Amino acid sequence: MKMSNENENLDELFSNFYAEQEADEFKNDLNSFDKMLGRCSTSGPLAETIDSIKDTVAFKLSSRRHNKYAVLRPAAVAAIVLLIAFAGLKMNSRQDSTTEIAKSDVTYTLFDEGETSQLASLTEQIEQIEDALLSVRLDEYDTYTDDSYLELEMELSEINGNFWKG
Amino acid sequence: MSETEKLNEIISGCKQGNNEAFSKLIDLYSDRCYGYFYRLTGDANIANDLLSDLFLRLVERISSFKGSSFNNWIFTVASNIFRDYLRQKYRRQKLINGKIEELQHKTTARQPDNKLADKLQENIARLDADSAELIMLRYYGQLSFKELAEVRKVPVGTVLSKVHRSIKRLKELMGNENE
Repeated sequence: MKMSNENENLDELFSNFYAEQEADEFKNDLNSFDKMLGRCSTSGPLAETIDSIKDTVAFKLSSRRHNKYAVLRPAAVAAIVLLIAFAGLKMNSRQDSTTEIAKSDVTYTLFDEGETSQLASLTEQIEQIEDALLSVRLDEYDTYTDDSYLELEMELSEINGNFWKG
Repeated sequence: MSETEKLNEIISGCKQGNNEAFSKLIDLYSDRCYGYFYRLTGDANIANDLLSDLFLRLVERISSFKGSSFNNWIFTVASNIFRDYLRQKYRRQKLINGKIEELQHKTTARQPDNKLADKLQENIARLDADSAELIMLRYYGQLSFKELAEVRKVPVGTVLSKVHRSIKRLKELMGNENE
């Protein structure tokens, strides 16, 4: 191993920063440092360490794959739940419309079967009340036939008389 | 098939969640990434943990890789992981300062490499974290100075001066061992 990069032109690089003598000194220092580190080369990691790292990496890769599925699973469940909910909503709305139709059928049936005569009598009564109201408004109603009204009128005139007498 | 084509095929497989492709990617990058973590932490166990974190993070993030240099990208992720580790370590240190120092002493004594490697490790730890990481990114990540500047979002000149200063400092600290 060398403390230099093969693609690196040190002469060109150093010429931008150092004088020739200084650049040479730097290159010599780099070379001697390379040699020294070469003499002190590390033995490298133990084979067991490498195996252990590989095992851990393999485990991590498989757990990542598992995690990917773990993310997909809830997504699939959510999709199914949504589908069921959507289907449920659809069915409910159908049932509602059926009920509405049924209800209108019931209403129609109620007035159709035997209650029409009652309805006619009610309508007649309403018309009579309306006529009576109209008579009162036009002052055609025979109020004098009502004794209580006459008595009230007499009392009021008596109170009125007493008031002025003091 | 060229190396670049092979790598592109592997990356494409990883993006699809292919376990075999990830296995190939681990084989391809584990040594360099481990070296990067080990040199910065000085602890084989922590380096293993960070390496594991890196590949697990790749599983999550590989789909976001759209750049031209995968090497640049993977070491940017590695750098972020190392920085997260530093932040955690700093927090822990604040909580149980004394205990951590004791543990660090113990872990330094557990280095599997030779004497020179121990001394180098010791001296790398004396550099500021940022500079140490820059030279490790350059060595293990094989990033160019321009790529380092892109990763750090700083001018190339800043990267050059930091790397040069750190190497000079290490040279001083290592003394005759540097020869």
